[in-house]
Amino acid sequence: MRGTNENMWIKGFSKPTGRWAGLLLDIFVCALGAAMLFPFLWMAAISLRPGDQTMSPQLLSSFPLEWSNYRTVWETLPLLRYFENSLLVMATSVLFGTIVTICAAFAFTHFSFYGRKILLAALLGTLMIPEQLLLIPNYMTVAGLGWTDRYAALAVPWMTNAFAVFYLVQVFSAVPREYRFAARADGAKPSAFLWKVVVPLCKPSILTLALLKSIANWNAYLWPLIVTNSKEMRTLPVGLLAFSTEAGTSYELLMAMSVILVVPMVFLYFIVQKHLVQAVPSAENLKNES
Amino acid sequence: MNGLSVAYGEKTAVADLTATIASGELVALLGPSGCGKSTTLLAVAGLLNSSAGSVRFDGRIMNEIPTEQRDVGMVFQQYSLYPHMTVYDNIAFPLTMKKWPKSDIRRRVDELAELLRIGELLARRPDRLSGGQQQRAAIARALAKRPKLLLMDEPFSHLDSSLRLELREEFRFLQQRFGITTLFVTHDQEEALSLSDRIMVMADGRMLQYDTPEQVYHRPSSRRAAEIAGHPPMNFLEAEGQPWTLGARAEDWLMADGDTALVRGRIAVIEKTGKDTLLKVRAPSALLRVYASAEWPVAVGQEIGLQIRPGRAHWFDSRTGSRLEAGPELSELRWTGA
Repeated sequence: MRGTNENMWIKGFSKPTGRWAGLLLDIFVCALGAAMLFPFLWMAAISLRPGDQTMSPQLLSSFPLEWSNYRTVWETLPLLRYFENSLLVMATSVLFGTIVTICAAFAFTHFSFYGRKILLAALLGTLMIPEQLLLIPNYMTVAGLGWTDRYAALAVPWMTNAFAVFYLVQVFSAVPREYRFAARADGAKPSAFLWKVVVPLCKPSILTLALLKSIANWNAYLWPLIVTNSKEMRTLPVGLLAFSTEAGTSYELLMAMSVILVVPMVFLYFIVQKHLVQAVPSAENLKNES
Repeated sequence: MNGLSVAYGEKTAVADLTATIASGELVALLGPSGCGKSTTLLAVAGLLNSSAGSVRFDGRIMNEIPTEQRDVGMVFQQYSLYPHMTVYDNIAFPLTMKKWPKSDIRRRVDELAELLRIGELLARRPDRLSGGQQQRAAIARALAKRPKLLLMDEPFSHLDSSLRLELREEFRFLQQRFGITTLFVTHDQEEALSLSDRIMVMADGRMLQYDTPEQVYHRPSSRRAAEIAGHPPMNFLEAEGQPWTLGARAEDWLMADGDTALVRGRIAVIEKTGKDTLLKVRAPSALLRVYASAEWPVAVGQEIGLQIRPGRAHWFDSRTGSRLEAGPELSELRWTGA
């Protein structure tokens, strides 16, 4: 399963073989893609319009394009600082979060300890609590620690979540027990088995998780807004706030800022994309590769 | 192993197993699937905890010693190589874990690769190897640290037959040359009989017999052990009200005339398998599998009289199934059905 376009088809579905069926499917996929892309296109279009034409029903209502919107955004906000903050918070939170999640999932799958099942059930239970409900308790904890307006407040609370642990527990339990047996006979301690065998084997799934976490973290808006006061500590999404005030909303600037926000994630996605497709049938991959 | 038992919850998978493997011996654990042979292997490796009894290596009790420190090598039927590592890295893995210097690792891996004839494959990933090559690499990895004990779980079962025979023979040669003490699990009685120094016959979590292949084949300790070792399965004749069951292997029959025949029956099926001709003979309340000699005139539907070769009859206690040293005089018996 390497570099072939079989990867593009989800397990259980095979690519239709008939010429017309294939064409229909291609059309369907393109239509779906267009529907998904349209809001982004609209966003990009508005960001290039003059301020008085943002509500125009035409995609691009006037020429020349107003590239100056981007300059205005650049001049209004300390973008570099925001970018730095976003990047730093995302990197630490994803890096540490992934490591902690891997360790937790490994503990659940490879050790038997008292209360294992109850803990796992409790962890699953937290999936049912809506995130909004956690905002205030989390804020109080962070404030109590004196972390407000500091990087720790932005990064630490979102490092792990129950879904990530639960997902990796599923992935790790699909690793055939023979690998564990062989590794132990080969003299690998549990930590060596985890980092030298389990993690490389499950790399696609772990990368998927890290990417999802990155996107969620990059786009986080409400939390950074609550825990930061000074302009220096804000992240990119909070910057959007600057263009929507009581005096009215400057949609063209708001959209320009959104474009700036989205582009890095698109690049990140392209970088890890080729590892992601393999993650879909992860257990199947293990079998095929052995 | 001394009185070794392994239990899963309420269920006992292996009970009260006692056996000693001499250094340098190749021992087969033979039995039908689910009989506890893999469980025994894992318990010896320390991958499963025993609920009673002890495992000793060279007299030292190993129960509390984790697998990592037991100095064992393992080969499995499948998933036996780490798929994300090259063959070289796979073989080197146990040595890397021991923090060997790189140059020593290289020397050892090259030496093993040559022995197992996988020298050109070292840079490949396991998914680019054939099944036979994978098992060779897996054996090389298991031997890399020169373990005290090699444990193999159905190592050849996944291979097609000619490859299986070839690799088996090669492995036997290596094993004898280097005196590698080996315990291997198989459900293939032929593999056990042809390869091993001693066979441990198991059924339902118990050891039925632990002996040389000759003894296991020619003097099975019980009816159950006789069924497990040998193919086609041994024929059994049970007589109502008699304390014994009579057993005879397919190759231990002679054609006999009316007066001297033990059994008379009609040939139901003739199977020619190259040099051998296997007859299925329908006798009263029994279907016998009998190898025919070349000179027997055989045809389907024909009536045939059979007698067991002298000294080749096995007698078992009809109630307990255990082996009896003697039975009635064969020539005085006439089989008429149960």
